[in-house]
Amino acid sequence: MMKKNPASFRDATNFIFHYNEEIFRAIHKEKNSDYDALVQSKLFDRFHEKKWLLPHKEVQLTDRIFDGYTIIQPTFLPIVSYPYEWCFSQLKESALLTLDICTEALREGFILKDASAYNVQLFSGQCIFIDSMSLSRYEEGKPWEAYRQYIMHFLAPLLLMKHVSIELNSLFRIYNEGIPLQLTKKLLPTHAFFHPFVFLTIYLHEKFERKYSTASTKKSGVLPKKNLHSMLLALREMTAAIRIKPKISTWSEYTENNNYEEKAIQRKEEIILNMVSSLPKLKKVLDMGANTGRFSRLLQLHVDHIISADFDPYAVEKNYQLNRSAGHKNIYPLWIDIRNPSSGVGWEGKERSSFLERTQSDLILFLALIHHLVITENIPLEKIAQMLASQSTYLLIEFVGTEDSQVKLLYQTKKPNHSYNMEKFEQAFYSLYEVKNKTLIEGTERTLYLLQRKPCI
Amino acid sequence: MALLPIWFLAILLSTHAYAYVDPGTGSIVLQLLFAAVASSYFWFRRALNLVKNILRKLKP
Repeated sequence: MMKKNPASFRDATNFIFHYNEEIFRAIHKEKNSDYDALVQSKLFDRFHEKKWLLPHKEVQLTDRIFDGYTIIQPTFLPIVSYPYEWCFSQLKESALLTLDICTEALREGFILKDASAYNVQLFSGQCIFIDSMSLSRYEEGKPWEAYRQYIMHFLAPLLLMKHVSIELNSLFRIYNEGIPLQLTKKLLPTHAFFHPFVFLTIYLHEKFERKYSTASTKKSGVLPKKNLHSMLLALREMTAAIRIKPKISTWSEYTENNNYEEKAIQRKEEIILNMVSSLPKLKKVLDMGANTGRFSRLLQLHVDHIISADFDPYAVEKNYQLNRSAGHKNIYPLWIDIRNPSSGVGWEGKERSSFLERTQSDLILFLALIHHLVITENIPLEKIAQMLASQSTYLLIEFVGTEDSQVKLLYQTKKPNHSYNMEKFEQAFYSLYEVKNKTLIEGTERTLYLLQRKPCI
Repeated sequence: MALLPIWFLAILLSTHAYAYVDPGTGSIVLQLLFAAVASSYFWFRRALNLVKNILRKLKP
């Protein structure tokens, strides 16, 4: 049974579809003559070698509905994420990759017709371009079709993250087509425009957009290839120069500043490793409240892929940097607030699926999070258990006892609306899960539970 | 009713509806300008580097 991907409908020349639980791309032979030219140019091969472009192979599908189409099968992407879930560095690397592909393609007589941040994904530990059909033949003198999109998808959010708030890539959740120039211009502080290229690409760009916004003023122009090349280089230079100051937030340094003694942390790691080794080989693990990813890295050799999610963007940034420098290829640090995870957005709310839809896992790691949700956020234990049981088969959860100093601290600032103690915790979770292992972390008030969802749930 | 004239004014003074605005043209014009500026910038930078290199070589 063939099913078109709900996010693949804007380009009339090709589309992504699901067939027998695999993913393919159908390229219309008549509407898209660029494909054959690209194959002949060996550009795909070169980009695959450089690990810039997600590898694909041409396949034959016998179904008659594919007559008139060339079918390619891209390598399977285990985890899909969106720019509103990325840290600063992931968005910046995606921007640079987009420009590098465009510049290299231009040398061979091709160009990118899209510069969408959604065309880049994290794969095997690095950013990779996934839309092979964004490449098309370059026509001499024609301006870059995707220029405006590059500014709205990359330059504007990166500048806003640097100058205003690191959290402003969240604007992608509202603006599916990229961050509007008018809004960017309003939000950026005046000193940001002292950079001549920022002045040109944002301030003046927005002015020009308004000035030429009516059909009567329509103008076209010739952009010599040499100038186009210089413009791509200038965009690359200015993008590469956007840096955020490392900031110490409560959670980005939490691994170092918590109430755990080093011995207890080591014991916790041992218990977690033991618990995970007792399970069948896990393909997908979701580490919720991962902080800077200490426990994701602990498990990275034992599982196929780990989504390492946290609500503190600085912790996610640090997690990303640590994995990059250590060369870990199967950890996906994402900026997710579990109290409000990304919903489905775009056309029919289906163009970009929700975080929970994308991250159904074999195991959820839910360490030292539950007391915050119940005491501070007023989420009842039953609701947390239900949500977790809907997301994974196994759950490794840390219960922080009422005598724990951190819990006492929370009680000092707020009286919880819902009951929170070990008995209530076990009541809520045991109704949905079977206990495989329950171990107290010696020297602490904390207990680790390995739970398996009951078959009837 | 008192607000009616303001509504009329708002309708008369409003700019073009969003759907009919063409954002592409301004972007193209800006792109031509930016590309020309970038081109000259890199030309000057190369020239400057060339002069610097020559001066360095001339130094005893």
